[in-house]
Amino acid sequence: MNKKRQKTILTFCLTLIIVAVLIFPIFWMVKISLTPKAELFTKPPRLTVSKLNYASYLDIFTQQKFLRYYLNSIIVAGMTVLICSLTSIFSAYSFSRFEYRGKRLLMIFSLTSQMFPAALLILTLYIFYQRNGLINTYFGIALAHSSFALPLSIWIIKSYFDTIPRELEDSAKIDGIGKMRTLSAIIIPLSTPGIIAATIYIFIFSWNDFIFGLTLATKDAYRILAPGITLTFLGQFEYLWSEMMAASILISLPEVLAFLFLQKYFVKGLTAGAVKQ
Amino acid sequence: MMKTGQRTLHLQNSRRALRLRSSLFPYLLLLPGFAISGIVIVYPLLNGIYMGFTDFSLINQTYTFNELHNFVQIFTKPMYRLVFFNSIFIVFVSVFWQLFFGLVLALLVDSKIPGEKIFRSTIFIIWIIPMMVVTLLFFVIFNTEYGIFNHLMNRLHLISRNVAWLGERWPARIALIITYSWRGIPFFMVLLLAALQTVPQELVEAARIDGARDWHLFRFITIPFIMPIAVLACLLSSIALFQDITATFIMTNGGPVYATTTVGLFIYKEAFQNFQMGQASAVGTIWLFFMVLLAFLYVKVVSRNTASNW
Repeated sequence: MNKKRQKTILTFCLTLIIVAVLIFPIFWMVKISLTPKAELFTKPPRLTVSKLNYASYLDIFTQQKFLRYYLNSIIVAGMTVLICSLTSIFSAYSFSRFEYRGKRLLMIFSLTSQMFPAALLILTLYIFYQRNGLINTYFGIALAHSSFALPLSIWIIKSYFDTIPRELEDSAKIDGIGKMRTLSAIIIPLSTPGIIAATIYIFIFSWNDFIFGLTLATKDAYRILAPGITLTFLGQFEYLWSEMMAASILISLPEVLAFLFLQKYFVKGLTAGAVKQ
Repeated sequence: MMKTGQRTLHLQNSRRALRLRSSLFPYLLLLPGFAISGIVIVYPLLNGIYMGFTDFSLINQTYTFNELHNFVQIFTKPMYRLVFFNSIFIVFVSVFWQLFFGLVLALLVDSKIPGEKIFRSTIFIIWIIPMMVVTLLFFVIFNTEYGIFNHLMNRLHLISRNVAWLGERWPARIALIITYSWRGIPFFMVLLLAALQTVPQELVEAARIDGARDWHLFRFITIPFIMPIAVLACLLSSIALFQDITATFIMTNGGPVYATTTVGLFIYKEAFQNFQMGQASAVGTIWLFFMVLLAFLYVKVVSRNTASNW
């Protein structure tokens, strides 16, 4: 018994040390964002701050540009979530409940489409968008995000649909209830956790994107957060540390908050389809 | 008589129509999703492959066939080999460390210590913040003069002078590997933890009664049980890292010289900074074959290991 307890304490301490080391960069980000300019560039770097300094946050909040990017990211992520969740519910229903010719091939395509080199797709997408007036539109960026977020959300929702017993649908069928009605009245209400999990990942994909937002919007008015912030600080990476870190924290905040409140959906989405339940 | 025949025919027709409609139904459900994939993935992909055989450039936007010139370049110039090496080396080493630390953490957290959930949640934050934030953060951490990394490494006597992490060839690659590895650990940890929780405890108990040591339990029960998930996680993570342009773009911009230019970044810069869309597409096409190979491996693992119907 005593030996077992010793082992637990040892494991706990080891875990604590590893977690502390891993989380240190996050702590450092917060610390740098609150450090006064005068204390930033000292040798050796100090682990603590003499006085908390919120100037960098105020500086970011008073910049019109930053609020613009924030709003753009919310619009684009919202559109992506809307496009993706609607279309992937239908696709997931098809994959989960019907047998038909070519299904396996279509499933393989939808699963692998996110793996085609994004860099190659961006080139031609850029030309395609340029010719069709989709550069500098929210819809254009949301469409590009959708295509990459779709496979994941289809897969998450499908694996949730798979867990719902079919007896309910069979009795609905006997009662003469149509397939679409079965989907909307029986399957969707029972799958809310799966749909929420998918929605979260779609949102995160769109919110975190850098390269599509950078390429498909050339005007500041349509830039989303990640490329917007990067371009704002470009060439000043060496000096504006506090502002950079403050902006980084403000970008990550919605996701971290969402995570704190919706934890179980995050894990559910991640393990969907990968782990047998 | 005539009337009945017509009626039967009519009935047959409408029944056929009904059957056709219901057999088309699953395809109709797929239509919206595949329409999006068609516009944003299939069309650009085919167009990109086609472009690789031309000297299309952003400035002169015409497709002129240039006799495999782009592909000959790739196979003859050593620079291209370096770019492919960078991608493969950086990604594989990063995935190795992700797996290693992910597994260690999953095993530690799984051994019924207090605060399991808090540890898992804390770590998970690393994985949800945007890559661009991760990159800016490590840019600050790896700074030569004032960066905390050099300071701590000096303190631990692992280095004797300040290293220009983002300014020298191998240090820059290592810096990128550290960034990627750090970023991916939570992903592995959460997946492997879920896999560990599927190991049946009765089996472990039975083996223990039969006198199996901890190491044997790990080698002959735990590993076989988590293997499929570990392979899946490795494939998914490799694919995600091969796709990433953000980290190299912001942190090193591919430098010094070409030391951290990965294939994705090379394609991007060739297209949008040198305007050589044709050449960039040719590299992309070769890269596509490599990714398709990985993708099929992934499909194989998924279809073998998930309960879902195929």
